[in-house]
Amino acid sequence: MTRYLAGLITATAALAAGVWLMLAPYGLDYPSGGTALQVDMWTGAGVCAVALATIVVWARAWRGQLRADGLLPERPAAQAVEQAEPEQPAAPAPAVPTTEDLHSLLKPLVAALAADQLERTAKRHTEEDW
Amino acid sequence: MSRWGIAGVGLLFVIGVWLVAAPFVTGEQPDSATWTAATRNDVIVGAVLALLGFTGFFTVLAGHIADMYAKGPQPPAQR
Repeated sequence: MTRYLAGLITATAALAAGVWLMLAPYGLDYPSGGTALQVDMWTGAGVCAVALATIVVWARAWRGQLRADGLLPERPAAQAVEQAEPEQPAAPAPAVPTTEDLHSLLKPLVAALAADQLERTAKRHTEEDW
Repeated sequence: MSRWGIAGVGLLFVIGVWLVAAPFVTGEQPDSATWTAATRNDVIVGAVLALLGFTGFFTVLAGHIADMYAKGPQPPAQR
């Protein structure tokens, strides 16, 4: 934690110094158009840019570390995506016929075959009797 | 990520050193003359910035190394 805090404090103080550098030429009445004015303005702008970038880097690093340690919840954006796409119900598994299904399917067929066989046998017996 | 942060803090130190030297490097402040308000401002703000950068750099580095000690020895990197 120390390094994140130290980085943030340093960068924030530097940001304040950068802002002061940009205001100083007007506050201290620098001669207009002089080198000192340009040096302070450009250096102040550079300090502000570096300080802002450093603040962003340290803040992101600290947030990432807090997330990794489980002290911060996951990103709200990731949660929103999860909420926007509700879990689809699992697709029904392809129907695999069970033994009972096969029995019920074949039973009428077998019965019809048996009836047909009985009829033929009876007919044959009748012809033999004649 | 931390490397960029450490580099940023180190850069602030460099800018501070530049700000202290700037009035003399640019010739705005002659060696023998009394310091102008701009020179005084640049030297003071530059010194504060350099001190901030110096302290911040080593504090961040110390925190980084303390974290490494807390994690303990790591397996050697595979080539």
